Amino acid sequence: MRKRPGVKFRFLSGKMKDICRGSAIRMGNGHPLSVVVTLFAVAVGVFVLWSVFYSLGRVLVHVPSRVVPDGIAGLLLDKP
Amino acid sequence: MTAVRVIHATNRQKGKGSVEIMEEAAGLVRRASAADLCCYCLGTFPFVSYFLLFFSRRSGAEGCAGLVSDSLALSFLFLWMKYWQSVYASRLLAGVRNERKEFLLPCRQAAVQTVFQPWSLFLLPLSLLLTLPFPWCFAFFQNVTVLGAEGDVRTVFRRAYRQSLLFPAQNLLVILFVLNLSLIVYLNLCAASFLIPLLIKKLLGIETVFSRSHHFLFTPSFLLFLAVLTYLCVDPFVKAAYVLRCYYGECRETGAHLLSELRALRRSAARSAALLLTATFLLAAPRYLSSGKTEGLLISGSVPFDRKGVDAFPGDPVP
Repeated sequence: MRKRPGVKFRFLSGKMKDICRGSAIRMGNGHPLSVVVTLFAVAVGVFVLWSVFYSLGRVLVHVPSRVVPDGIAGLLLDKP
Repeated sequence: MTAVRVIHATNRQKGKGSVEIMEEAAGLVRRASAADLCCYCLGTFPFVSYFLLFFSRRSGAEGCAGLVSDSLALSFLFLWMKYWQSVYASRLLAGVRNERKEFLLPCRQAAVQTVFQPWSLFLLPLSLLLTLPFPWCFAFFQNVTVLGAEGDVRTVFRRAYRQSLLFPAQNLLVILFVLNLSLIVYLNLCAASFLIPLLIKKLLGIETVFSRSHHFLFTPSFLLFLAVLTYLCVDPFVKAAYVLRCYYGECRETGAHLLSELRALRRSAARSAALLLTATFLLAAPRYLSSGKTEGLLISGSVPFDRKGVDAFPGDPVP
């Protein structure tokens, strides 16, 4: 029986599709690509977190030592 | 079209009342074992302590020195906290479901939290600014914490999203309840930190730094410290409330409450059967021994013990 052309190609494309479908941010299903994608998502998460805290640190440098100025606080409470 | 309408209608169902949910959450936290609370503390205390240190360093004289390493350490501690909070929540969920509490797939659970939770620091303030999407966003990230151990990233996303759409009125009222509770706890802590040094001075005559001046109440570090204490007081209840919301949402879809009740019934049946057997044995054994029917037992063995000097048993043949 004559083999149909393109069977091998279709098989390969099916495999690739399976891999891609399985790897959409999924971990632990055995595909190396999925593990890579998850690790990439984890790295992005860590970077986002670091950038948030870094920005917070930059902002906090400008925070005054007292929320209320001494004058108002002195009016409300006994100043030592 | 009809199916979509049905889904929207079921999502809009009221569910339990927010006060009822919070009461149940309080009961759940009270019933939680020491190991559950240890899981929560193990994750939360390091982050909170380091955050206070980070704040005092940055707003103090140090400025931007060592900011890169500090923020990196804080990021890892945040992820550590989220992982342990997820463990705490999943253990509470297992308790509600009457399942065994186990540590499952720590790598996957940590990965799930690392993928989702950093975005909460962006999306929650943004949604609060837009006001309307805040309840759904808040519920989504709480659900990610609760359902973190339930599968891979995609499954957790899908389930957390579906659960966050359920009972919107209940969700909103729970958030308002938590907000009010946080405010009350914060004010109480402020009052306590103002009054306790005064009371110590009046009653015991001990002068402290805090009783000399009340200006410490206006420092950002102290206000942040009180906010952190408030978070530590309120957050376990919030997690428990979202555990219950997820559980009731799951019950509507899968009938998990029936399985849970069946498990509880099976466990209690096994326990009562064991008790019954023990009681039967304890009651029957002395009567059996005293009735003199031990012969069969002795005959079944070859020579149980040296019978010299032992009185003859009632059934023994007379020599």
